[in-house]
Amino acid sequence: MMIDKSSAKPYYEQIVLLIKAQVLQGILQPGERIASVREMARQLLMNPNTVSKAYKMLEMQGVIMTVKGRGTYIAEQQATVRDDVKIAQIKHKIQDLVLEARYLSVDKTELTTWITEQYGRGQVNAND
Amino acid sequence: MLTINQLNKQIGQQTILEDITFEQTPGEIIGLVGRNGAGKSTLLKCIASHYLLDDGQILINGESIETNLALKTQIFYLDEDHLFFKNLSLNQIGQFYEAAYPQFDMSQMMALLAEYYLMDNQQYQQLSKGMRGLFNIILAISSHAPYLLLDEPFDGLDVVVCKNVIRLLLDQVSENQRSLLITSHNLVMLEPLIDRTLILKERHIIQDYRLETVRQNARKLQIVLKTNQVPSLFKADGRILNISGRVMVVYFADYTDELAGKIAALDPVLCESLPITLADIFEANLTNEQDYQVFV
Repeated sequence: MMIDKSSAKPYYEQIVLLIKAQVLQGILQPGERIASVREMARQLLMNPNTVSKAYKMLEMQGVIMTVKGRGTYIAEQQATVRDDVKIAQIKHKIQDLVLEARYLSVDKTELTTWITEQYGRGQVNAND
Repeated sequence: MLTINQLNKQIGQQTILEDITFEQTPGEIIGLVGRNGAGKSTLLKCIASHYLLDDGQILINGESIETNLALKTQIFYLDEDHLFFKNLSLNQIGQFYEAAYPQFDMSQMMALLAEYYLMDNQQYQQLSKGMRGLFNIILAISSHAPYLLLDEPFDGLDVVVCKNVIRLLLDQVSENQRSLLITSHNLVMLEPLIDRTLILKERHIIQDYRLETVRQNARKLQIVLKTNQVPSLFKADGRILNISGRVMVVYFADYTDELAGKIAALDPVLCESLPITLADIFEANLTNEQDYQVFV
């Protein structure tokens, strides 16, 4: 697990995205125990408060769950609840992307190919 | 909670620190940064009572450490320029600190020494610089003081020792809610560790911020204009970090829509936002005009 120190994204957000990516890729399986805040802070050489903030967000979003005294686990059921606000945000991002892409004369087929590729990547790895 | 309240310090005729005020909560990691000679070490020495204050107070949980002297054992600081124990063995040094810090944990110190292959009968001065750094941290941890003041703890350590030192410290923060006040010039190392940064300049703390908040308000832009001239706007509202040819990197601490409009009005060939690091904020705040003369 790597954190990009030169990224403009806040560290906690990077941790959130990394865990989500690893769940989608099947590197982390539902029910699997993940590093505690303390262990993760040691691994990443990062402030435990930052890691804790990321874990709280992941817990709120139902990606992980903490069992008191036992540890932190990947939640059994992933993304069953559709968060309309978050989905609307993604839609908004896509609008911006399409605009930028069109401006750079990337056509619809090319763009959809990329999207299909990205979906495919998650799928293939998840089946590994 | 550690509170530094309106601290002033003069050395000789010179005022080194003026009106220094800040708080540190348990479990918080603060980075203290500033140029060489800004007074970082002096501030640590003041907090650790190695220097007498000219004015101001140091409080722990609201109680002055001058009225309740026992509180001083809650603060740990090692002045590496004036080590009294250079020719003592690590074991003997531990015994000294055991006498000074009532909660000192000798068995923990011995366990940590063994874990990192340090011999307790070895003399401090026989250790390499990196091993001394590691031992200093072990001593700090074993003191069980909740507030650790660390002056350049990563200085001179190799990557492996450095990671060990950081892990030892992070464990203390996670498990025991200990607070760290760290000075370092290694901003890359410091950045992911700290909750807050204090910037010390010309006797004062000129900034007290969280990097994530700064990232929300500030922008670092790489701009290419059609002409070679640097617009006055960049100097007035921003800080130029780098110029090479027509490519300029400018830091804007407060990037508003109005400012964005003004920049767009300059009709730049390229205007790209770059990630902001602790080093940028350091440069943007602490670089003087004369520092640039070398390059121009």
